[in-house]
Amino acid sequence: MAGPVNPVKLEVLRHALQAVAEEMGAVLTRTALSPNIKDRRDCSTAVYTPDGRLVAQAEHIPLHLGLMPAVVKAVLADFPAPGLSPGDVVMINDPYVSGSHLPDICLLSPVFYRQRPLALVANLAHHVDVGGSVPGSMSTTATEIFQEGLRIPPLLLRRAGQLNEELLRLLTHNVRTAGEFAADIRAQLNANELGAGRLQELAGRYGADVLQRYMEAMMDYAERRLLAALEGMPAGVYDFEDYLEGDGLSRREINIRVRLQRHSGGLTVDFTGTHPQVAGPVNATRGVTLACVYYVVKAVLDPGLPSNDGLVRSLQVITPPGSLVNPAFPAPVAHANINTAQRIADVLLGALSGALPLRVTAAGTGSMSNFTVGGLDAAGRYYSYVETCGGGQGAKYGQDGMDGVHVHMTNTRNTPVEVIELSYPLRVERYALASGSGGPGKYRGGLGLVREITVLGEEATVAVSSERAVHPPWGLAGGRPGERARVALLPPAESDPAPVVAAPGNGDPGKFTARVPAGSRVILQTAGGGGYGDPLERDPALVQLDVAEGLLSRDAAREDYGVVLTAELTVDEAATECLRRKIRD
Amino acid sequence: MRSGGIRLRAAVDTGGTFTDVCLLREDTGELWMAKIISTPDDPARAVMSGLARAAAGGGLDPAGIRLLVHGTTVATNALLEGKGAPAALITTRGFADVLRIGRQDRPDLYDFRVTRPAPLIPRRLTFEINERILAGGKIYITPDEAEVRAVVEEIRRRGVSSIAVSLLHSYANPVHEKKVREIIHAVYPQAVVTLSSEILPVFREYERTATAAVNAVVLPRVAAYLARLETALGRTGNGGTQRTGDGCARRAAAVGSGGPGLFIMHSGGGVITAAQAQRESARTVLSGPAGGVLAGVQLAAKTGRPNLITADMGGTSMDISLIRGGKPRYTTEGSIGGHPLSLPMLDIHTIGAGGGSIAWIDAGGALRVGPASAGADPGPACYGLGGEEPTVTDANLVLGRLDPAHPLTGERPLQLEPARRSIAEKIARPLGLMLEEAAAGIIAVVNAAMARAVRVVSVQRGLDPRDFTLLAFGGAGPLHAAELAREASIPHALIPRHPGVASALGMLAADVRLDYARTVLLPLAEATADELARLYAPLEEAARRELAAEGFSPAEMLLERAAGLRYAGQSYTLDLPVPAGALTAADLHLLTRSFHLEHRREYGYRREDAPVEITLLRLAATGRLPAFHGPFRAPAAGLNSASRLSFGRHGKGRSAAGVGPDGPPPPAATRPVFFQDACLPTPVYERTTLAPGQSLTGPALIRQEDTTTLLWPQMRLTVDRLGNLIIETGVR
Repeated sequence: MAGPVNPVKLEVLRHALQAVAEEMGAVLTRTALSPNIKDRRDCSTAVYTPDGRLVAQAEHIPLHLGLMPAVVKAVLADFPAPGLSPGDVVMINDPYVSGSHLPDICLLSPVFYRQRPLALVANLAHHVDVGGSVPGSMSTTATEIFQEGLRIPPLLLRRAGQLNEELLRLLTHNVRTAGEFAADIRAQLNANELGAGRLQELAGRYGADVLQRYMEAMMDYAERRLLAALEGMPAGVYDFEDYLEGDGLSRREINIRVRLQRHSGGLTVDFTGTHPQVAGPVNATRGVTLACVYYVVKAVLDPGLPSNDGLVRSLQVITPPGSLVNPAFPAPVAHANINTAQRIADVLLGALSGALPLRVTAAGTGSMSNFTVGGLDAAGRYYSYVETCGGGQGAKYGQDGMDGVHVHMTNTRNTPVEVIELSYPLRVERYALASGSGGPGKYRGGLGLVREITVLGEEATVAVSSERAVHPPWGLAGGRPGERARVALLPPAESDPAPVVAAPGNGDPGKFTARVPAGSRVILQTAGGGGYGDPLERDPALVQLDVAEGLLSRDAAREDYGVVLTAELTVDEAATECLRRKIRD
Repeated sequence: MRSGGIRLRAAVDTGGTFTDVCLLREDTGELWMAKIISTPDDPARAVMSGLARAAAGGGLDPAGIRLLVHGTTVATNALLEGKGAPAALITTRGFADVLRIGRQDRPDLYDFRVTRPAPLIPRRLTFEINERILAGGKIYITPDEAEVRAVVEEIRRRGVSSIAVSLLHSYANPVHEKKVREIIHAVYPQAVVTLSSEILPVFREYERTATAAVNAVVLPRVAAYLARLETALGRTGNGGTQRTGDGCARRAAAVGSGGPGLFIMHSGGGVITAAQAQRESARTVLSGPAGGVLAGVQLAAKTGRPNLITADMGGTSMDISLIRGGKPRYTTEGSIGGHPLSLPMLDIHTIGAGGGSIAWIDAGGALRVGPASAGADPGPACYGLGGEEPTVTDANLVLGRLDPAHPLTGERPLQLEPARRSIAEKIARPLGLMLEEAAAGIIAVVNAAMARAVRVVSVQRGLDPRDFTLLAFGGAGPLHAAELAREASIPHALIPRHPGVASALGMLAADVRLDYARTVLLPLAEATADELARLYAPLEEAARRELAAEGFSPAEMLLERAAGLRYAGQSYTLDLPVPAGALTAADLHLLTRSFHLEHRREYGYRREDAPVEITLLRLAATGRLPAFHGPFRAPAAGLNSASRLSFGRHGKGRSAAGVGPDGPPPPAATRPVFFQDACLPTPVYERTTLAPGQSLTGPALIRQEDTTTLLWPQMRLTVDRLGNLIIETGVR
């Protein structure tokens, strides 16, 4: 593979290879049937070297960044020499091979040029249902992976161009939404086919040897860029620990601990000391954990880093087997993507705050906050409304956190209120920012979201899974925590007494599942982001603006920020200075 | 030349750097053009002096201008620079944060510091009222008049006079929004009101509210600008709707008394009257780029090349759009400055790559170009105005592709030395490359970025670039066209006759186009033909009424129906044409069939057994302006006889009459130009000496007043019968 690398051709081919990944993604989202892939874009596409090293990836949510490299390497181990042949497509979803949860099915295809291996292409997509104990294959109470759906080991879905119809029949026979499943698999096949064709075109144009040489050069390039970014990180050891508030079965706290060690060879990320794997479905496979590491490294050190193998070469990640961050078979894993992944990201940011305090954020809303209502509509048809809710972004040096957004490992959009009411027997009473929920700081944490929904029609099942209802998102550099998440359930006809916090079973204040009668109202408020820096140093004019904008109460301005506002909402500078001095002393 | 009685039509495209003017003499088809520096503090100044200069070029009196079509950036700049007018929002109780929450996604996956823009209307100017309409349009809570009055009084007290009203489900039942407007008119008659149910009567509250907010914020700016322009043009305000009875009857509506009829280019590729632009100002945000797409549509029709990818490359950015089967693509998912704008608009993809884009070396040692731009001041190093960063224009100059003596703009001579120094120091030396290698690298990298953008609008939508022709214009487009087309696998590139003023030329031939829409939920299997036709009736009545008010006779009106269809439960719709007039069961059947086919083309599959429903009815109403054929008609003798570009000095001497129809004319000069790895002696032709039917083989440079076209070695260039340059890139 040795040969000169021209910096111009490097950039030109980087565009070309990234375009291959992106076009695969466009075909996948355009030809898939289920909204999860088509609209929410819970899928990713990528190009690899023949031995399974990532060259270019188009990830739509950061969670997939680490998942796909893990799956490809593991799959190749299942196909020893002579390996895969032209026209083969491997299918896999086993988290204990692939690193994700069962709904994420990956399809991998070898690409040949003139009978010689040129590359691999793969894509990963979240399917609506893969069987198991509940629709959607995301049980909150599973205790074994067998309850979460069908496990597919690396199998040839297509052998030398011939589709394995029997395998497909077996699979569609065991999932609840067979039509969507088959259509989405077909879309995944389309994507790989397009990627293979585009790579062969590039090989025809530049020569296979040249293309492969520049694939190597692109990875070397990312490695150099990451090493250059690591130069800015002081050598040393950085520790951090934080907690998950339950595993769905019990309310016990589950710690995640990390130690970062910056050394001449790069960065070691060691999760030793993290809680052993738990009974409920919040165990994060090593692939999920790696995704969080790659995400945080990229976000903090160099957000423009290309997503390829060069990114991972200088990172040593230690995940103790049998722990929450690298569980052993057959632990259930489905919900790690929603809650555990967000907490791992927080823990890594907390550790990095010791080394690069100006580059990280305080803790954010800390969960993808799943909100589900299912039941029968007036016509007796089954409906299922599923939403993930954003919250406050943690504040960072020089900038407030964003209000009401998805943070870190996901970025899916909300469902418009008008679409909810057009589609389900639900009425949205309020969809708003939670005033005052941002952690106070020189830079304020982002605000959490409030969704308030009345169940119409018939009795329904409501399930809410959020986090940060016990341990609020922490602040940094003197910044204070954001407000905790909370959920409430108001029975019908209850006008306005204290909301009943329903926590059947385990008493976890951030989660519940309940059958509720029509007319019940559910309120979810997600956590606000932590603040950054001493709130007494916040520019009083910004505090005034927050009060004017309804993001902060007048009382909070006084108590948290030491800012006194006049009746006309202007800053009383003398009183403010006096109050701030008093609070400091 | 006498101008009395001579009818002139003008188009003015205000851009960030230049204001382009085209002036057409309607009786002879002669064209005059001018390009002058824009005056952002008051764009009307450049409009007026541009018109005067273009008219002077033909010895004409600007008073003879009957019709003026204008592309304006006032709305765009107000949004991009955050200089909109203060506005208030009235919304449903419980939903005051709709603009702040948006769709809860963040703009960048990895970069914490890329944040959403602040909402156009702040929360402190957002007022909730206690009212509610349900999904089907049923009234659940009636607004309380006293509460609304109090809110309006408060808005008045704050001194804000532009008010957007956006209530939940108003697309289904606008009665509450209308009630609020009545109260505003009664309490605060000076206020201007934007109703979400009028500007965008479709569901999805964030997009509808944001679109209403865009309108409320730009309206006062656009209205004030157009009022100033009307005064400058000698128009005395928005006159009534009296008809003049002549061929330009609709001027009666657009014209006050005196002065030309003023029409404004809108984002959907048509024109609206100045009066309408003052009410629905949000429709003008793509006013300028839309002209370029229209030029493409016209060229597609005239050249028999129905599939074009248009690439307008200027100083800081490149606008790309796609024309298929002679029709441009529209989108209702546009955005500007991070704010969604869901009005139907031309689908234009913009990337930060232009002549002023800066080349740099990143931390991994790769050569990158853009998105930072040197702008016009200090500009590229070769401007000699103190710019030190190497740009794309500098690279073109170093490679010999630009001639220091023949700069792009016609205004500013270029200096080779600063360009060489800048590229040598900042790029060549650190990368260990030869100077020319580094310059060629800058061009290759910017072309790769542009090619990727071309693939976004074609390949990512399931279309093969091999079926298209690249239409390159803008000051820098023709220099890059050949290489970009080859890079993007496009077999032909087309350089129109006046690439530097293509947008203005496009506007000259625009028609009046109004768009209407309403949300419905109609299962096709249950719908009857009569029912569907009946649902279009109110849209058609409104369209006829409004076109008539603009002075169009029924014969000049064209009403085109379309419907948004989807498989029941899907969240995306496909727009399909619906026949005019009374409908039959066969029409509905055909509509269903077409939907299945189109769905397969767009998404790769169809579901013949799944129920299909209509969710949106659209109506596009066109009022035809008098046809205009130049400059696309076949030129009579030379190409230059009827068209001149004025830069404030007279055009270069034209050369060599009497060149043969087939062989290449004698070159005006020969220059050394660097291609890939070699420096080749390259003939330079004056565009004015090339006649239809002639062809030549690269390398070559074709020089004209407003741009230079580069032909690569081995590529073949032909002049078509209309005088366009057609480059064969060798892609098959």
